[in-house]
Amino acid sequence: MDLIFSRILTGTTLGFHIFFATLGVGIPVLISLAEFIGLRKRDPEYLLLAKRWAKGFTILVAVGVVTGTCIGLQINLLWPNFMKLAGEVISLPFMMEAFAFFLEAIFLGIYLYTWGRFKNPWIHWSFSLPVIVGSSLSAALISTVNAFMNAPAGFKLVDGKLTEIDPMAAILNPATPSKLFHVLSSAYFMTACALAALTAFYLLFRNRRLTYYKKALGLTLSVALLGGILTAVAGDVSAKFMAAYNPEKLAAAEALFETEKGAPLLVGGLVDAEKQTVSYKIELPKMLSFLAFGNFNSEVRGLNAFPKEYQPPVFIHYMFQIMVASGVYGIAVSALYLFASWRRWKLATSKLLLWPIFLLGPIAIAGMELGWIFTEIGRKPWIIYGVMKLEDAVTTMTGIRGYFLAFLGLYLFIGIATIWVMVRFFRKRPVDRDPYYLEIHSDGGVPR
Amino acid sequence: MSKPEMAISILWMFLFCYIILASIEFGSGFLLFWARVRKWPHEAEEMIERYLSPFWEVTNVFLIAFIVGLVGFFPSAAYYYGTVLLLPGSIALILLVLKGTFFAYCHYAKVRHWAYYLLQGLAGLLLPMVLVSLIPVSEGGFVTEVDGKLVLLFEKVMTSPLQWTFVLFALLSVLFVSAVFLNFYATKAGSPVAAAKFRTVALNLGLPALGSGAFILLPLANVRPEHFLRIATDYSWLLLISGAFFVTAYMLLQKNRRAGWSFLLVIAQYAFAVMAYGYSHLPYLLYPQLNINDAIVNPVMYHYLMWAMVGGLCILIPGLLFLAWLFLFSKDYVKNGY
Ligand code: HDD
Ligand code: HEM
Ligand code: HEM
Repeated sequence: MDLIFSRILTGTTLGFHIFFATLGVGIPVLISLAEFIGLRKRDPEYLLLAKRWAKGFTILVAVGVVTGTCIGLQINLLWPNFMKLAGEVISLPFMMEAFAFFLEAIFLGIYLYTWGRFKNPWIHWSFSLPVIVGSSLSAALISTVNAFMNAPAGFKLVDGKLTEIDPMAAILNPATPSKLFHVLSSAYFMTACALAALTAFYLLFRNRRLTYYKKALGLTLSVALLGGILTAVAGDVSAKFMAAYNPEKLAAAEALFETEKGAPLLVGGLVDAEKQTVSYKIELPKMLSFLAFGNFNSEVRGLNAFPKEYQPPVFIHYMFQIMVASGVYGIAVSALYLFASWRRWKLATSKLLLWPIFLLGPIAIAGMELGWIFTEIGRKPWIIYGVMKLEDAVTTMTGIRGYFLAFLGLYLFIGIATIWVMVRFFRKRPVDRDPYYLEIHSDGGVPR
Repeated sequence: MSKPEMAISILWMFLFCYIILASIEFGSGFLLFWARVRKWPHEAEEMIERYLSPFWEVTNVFLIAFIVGLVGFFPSAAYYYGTVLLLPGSIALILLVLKGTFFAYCHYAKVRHWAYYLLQGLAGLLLPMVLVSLIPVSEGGFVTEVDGKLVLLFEKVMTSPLQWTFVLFALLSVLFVSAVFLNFYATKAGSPVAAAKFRTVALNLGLPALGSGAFILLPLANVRPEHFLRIATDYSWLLLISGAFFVTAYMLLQKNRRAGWSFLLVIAQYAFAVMAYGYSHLPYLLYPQLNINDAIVNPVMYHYLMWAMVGGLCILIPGLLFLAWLFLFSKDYVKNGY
């Protein structure tokens, strides 16, 4: 019981943190881009965009920081044996990550409180760069630890004793390249989608047809398209990694029960784990073999090729599908919008397209969250693949259920309070009453 | 200096930076609330917010750096403390989340409701009281092994005089340190009205804070006599210096002169006191289960961690100086907020 609740508690904290953390990786990039364009084109509306995003960002960062501290302490509390081993082999990225946080935190403070303090506005813009480096680097470093859990490297375990420890090999383990690429690109993708959805919300429900919002849509959806394509490419690289190193995870993700040559890729489908069948699916013949190995006729091992105790649960198939679908959807919608607005079609800002853009926000967030849940549950029963099982890593303390309930209550409370506070903040300060906006549009709405 | 001593000294520095910065942050949080309740002039609130804006995120990272450093250099600390501190650690986390988010609501989202101020102020006071219980636990006697499982004797901790003297000391110190700092900040900002308020708090709490610190020695003599003896003999000179710093700082405060020096002296006072306590505690991290010589990480990892530390400090120190230059030593910012 305590094992289950330790897992659920870890998952809840991470799932909560990761939302704010992903925004923490992506928003600085978008703010920096907006300020860059604003300075370059001498268009103050982009500067206003950067300022307003930054205002909302400060609140999100605060939640990101405290929930991050939570997970940092909590993994020590809940998985002490894991951390003991990790401390010997993979503590280096944790330590470097702390310095990346410093970089981010220091320059975020500087960036936020020095608007207009320097004569040359590019100096202010340049402070956004260390923030981006710091947050992306910290995400990358923490992801190497997670990669290590999927493909441990850099040590040997002889009679329970660690030998031949090589911290660099542990960081640069086989899972690292695909993981970093996928985590970072998906973070930029998701953030851009979330901000585009927010803009669509104002256009749909507040009915403010300001040029300001059109510029915001163009910028966010361009980033979404680029990020989406990169994410898909990185996902393909991840799938090839998975086929080589975690084949049982791939089998579960694709609900492939029997080993097959020229295995088909499934789209959708209801899995019956007992009968080992998948109904209501669309099969793309031989595509799975191609996806996994780059060859249409390769053999892909099915779940039954692995001992029962090492098989991950098949329901991760659904999560995998939703994640991939969110990427495909995001690429399609953003490409359509950009094309339509390039050709100056009315469609671009019609309800017909704004609604799908609005939905893109929650869909991309779901894609990111489910991506993590899929890869983590897919590692079951291992906490470090092939080295340490979950039950050997968990704390010996009991009563974890109580802790889970306490933290769940805390996250619900904080989640609701944050939403409430943010909504209130921006409702009281609509764009067209922002002092800076009025300054820009003092001459009858024509941008200076 | 041996490898474990080197590692623990570095960790000590991060911890000490956290103690000072966190004291200022937690204490300011409470004073922010108090300033509203007691209807202090608005400037007092403004001073607090102006300092906290660019600094509070950095404060938190010192805590992270200390924890990852501890687990990196002494992996078994993760096992011992991780297991034992599940309950106090979780309480501290909940308070930390409440403190951080509610401060952000008040400050960044401009929510002016008193309940928000109260919550972040209270959480800020309770946090040091919970965090400090790590120290009495590390003195030994509160952790036992039953069937190979570590158990924290929670009731014994809660009824131990040592625990409560530490709690009292933490509470008073946090308010004292932050008041001394804010006195300096407000003086620099040219706001004598606000400075006077903070100075009064500092003067009222200075002696009780010192007294509660000295008082810790009594229950310590009971719980772990040999630790008490080492402080009282080998390291008493550190305590004496610490006391001298306090007296000087206190006199400067009373005369209302050199607010910056009095803050530096108070930092030095705490540094020496913590050193005296820390050195005499060594080599144990958790008495008697865990000592730094056995717990030190393997030499390969040690080597890499040290290099990461050197590289990291090369970023951190200039970064912090730049931050301080912009927001602490810049007359314009301190005075006008930009
Ligand atoms: C949301 C993002 C996320 C991130 C960034 C990570 N994980 Fe994970 N983790 C989860 C999301 C998740 C999860 C989806 O929430 C899991 C899967 C099953 C569960 O109960 O929680 C989980 C489970 C999980 C467990 C319980 C064992 C299990 O069921 O697999 C541990 C010990 C960790 N994780 C530890 C880590 C560490 C040390 C990570 C970083 C290096 C990490 N996870 C990254
Ligand atoms: C087990 C996994 C993780 C742990 C232990 C962890 C730990 C932490 C900690 C301690 C903080 C607070 C640092 C501070 O005070 O600034 C933090 C914040 C942050 N984390 Fe995580 N983290 C994890 C997963 C991730 C992942 C996967 C990402 C990337 C997608 C990420 C990105 C960030 C970012 C960008 C911040 C800064 C907060 C912000 O700017 O919003 N973290 N994390
Ligand atoms: C479009 C096609 C996509 C493919 C083919 C794909 C493929 C994959 C694969 C194979 C993994 C598992 C990696 C492993 O466990 O080793 C994974 C994980 C993940 N995916 Fe995707 N993905 C796609 C789109 C997306 C999108 C759009 C998002 C975010 C919105 C996303 C977010 C994630 C995350 C956060 C993880 C966990 C981190 C990781 O393991 O890299 N993915 N993806």
